Amino acid sequence: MYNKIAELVTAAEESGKPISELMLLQEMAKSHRTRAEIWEQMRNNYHVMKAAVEKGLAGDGVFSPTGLTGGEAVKLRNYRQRGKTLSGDDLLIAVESAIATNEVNASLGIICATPTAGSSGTLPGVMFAIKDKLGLTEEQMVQMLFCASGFGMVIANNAMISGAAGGCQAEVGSASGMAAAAAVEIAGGTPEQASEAMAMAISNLLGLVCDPVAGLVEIPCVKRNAIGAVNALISADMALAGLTNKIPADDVIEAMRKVGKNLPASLRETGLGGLAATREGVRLKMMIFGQQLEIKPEWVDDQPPAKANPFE
Amino acid sequence: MSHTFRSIFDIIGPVMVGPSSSHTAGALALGKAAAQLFEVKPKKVTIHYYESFADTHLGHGTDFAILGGILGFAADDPMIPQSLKMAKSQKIAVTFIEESGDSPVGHPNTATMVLERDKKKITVTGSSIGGGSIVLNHVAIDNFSMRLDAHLPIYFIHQNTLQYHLYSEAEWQNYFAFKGYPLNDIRIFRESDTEWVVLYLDTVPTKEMIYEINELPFIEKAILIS
Repeated sequence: MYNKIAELVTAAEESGKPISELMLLQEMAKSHRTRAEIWEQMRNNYHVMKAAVEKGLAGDGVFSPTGLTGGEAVKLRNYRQRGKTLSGDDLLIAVESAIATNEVNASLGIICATPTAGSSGTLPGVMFAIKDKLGLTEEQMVQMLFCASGFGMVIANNAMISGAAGGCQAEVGSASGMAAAAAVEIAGGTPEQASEAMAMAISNLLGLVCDPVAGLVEIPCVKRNAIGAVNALISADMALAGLTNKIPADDVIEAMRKVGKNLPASLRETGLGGLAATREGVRLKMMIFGQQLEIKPEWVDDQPPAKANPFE
Repeated sequence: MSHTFRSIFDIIGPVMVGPSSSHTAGALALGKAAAQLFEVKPKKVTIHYYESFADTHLGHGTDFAILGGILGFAADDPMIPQSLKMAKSQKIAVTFIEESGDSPVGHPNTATMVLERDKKKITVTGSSIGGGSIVLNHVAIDNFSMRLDAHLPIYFIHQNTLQYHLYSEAEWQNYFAFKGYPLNDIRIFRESDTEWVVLYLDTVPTKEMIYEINELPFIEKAILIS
């Protein structure tokens, strides 16, 4: 197993094999399964991702049982197709694919966690944004997943990938780093450039808190995947242009672990801080669950609990 | 570093019903592990939630997921959200308790599951560590208590110390290494004439090997949790 990104990069450079191939070989050795079996499972995951994007963009879109999120991927696509956007087609295809996936997730639909369900839109956002532009085949789309898994596994084993353990930086941040690296590999960049892209993508999202309104994976999760995808694309471009992060990828992962450990519990998927603790956030929670919200004083950082609860 | 995540499909996957890999898919995996260990359908299920699980289980669908796992649903079964209704129709008494204290095992996503049927009872405490992966921290079978830190897959092997032969730690190590599945770790718990051996594996063995382990002489039973 590769313990560090640096080991993965060195192994790829020395063997002349792409990181995606190294991960496929590692899985074969670990699981005693054939190349064809592993490829088929990953291809199936890709099809689940593709189906989720299509479902989120079909008709009026999908809506969550709470009604907090839904239909916005469709709204964004319609806006984009009118041809007068500020960010341009490529970035907005990333955004609408990311949002579509997370809207399906919030509607209790079927998704592929990459690396988590809350961050499941980031990687497909990047993949479907560059698919047509680079003319990627299905095989190359699946290859991106193998590459992303290598970076994700080092992050998961050295830091964390759950919002409860490390905040959103560990979910959308990790997903964005994985997607940036995979985009570099498929665009023809070097393993070192893939590592720089991951380092830049995570550095840009370091400290991002997990503050789900009403404890639901809806607000702000759905739109945070949009920023994760766009951040990955620009990080990949920066790396391909030869820009470097200066702080090496493994150090960035270590920084993320330490920042995650230092985040207060209110900002780690408890739904008790950040946007969840705003007036409107609390109102939405009470509207949905119809219960008196208890905000523990030690978890409220910037204001006494009485002010956070508009019904007192 | 810990090799907690070993398969690329821990990172790209699972394919699952939303909305949260740690609070939905991971909760389902916890329920599934408890069900595998219990072997029969429970009549009574009590779930204790700690920390983030206690705070957000309603919004993340943790209730239907953990129960879905206990009822045997796969992570991508669209019927998972109906598991509470199904438990009711099967006359399984289900209780969810939000604990206000810290996790007994030091992880923010912790659940303790108590499964009962007549006099049979197990208590399983586990944590959902992200991306749908889980760790089992504590297991009590009837009153036999085992403290663990096990990533799946694991084998629980029940041996009777009065048997003609009691497999030693080295024998288990050698057997699995010979088969191409070197053990990550092994824990042995003994109380009077009962012994439970817990084997930590990297990957799920083949069907043939699972069959062979079940048929090994001198063991009472072997339960694979995966």
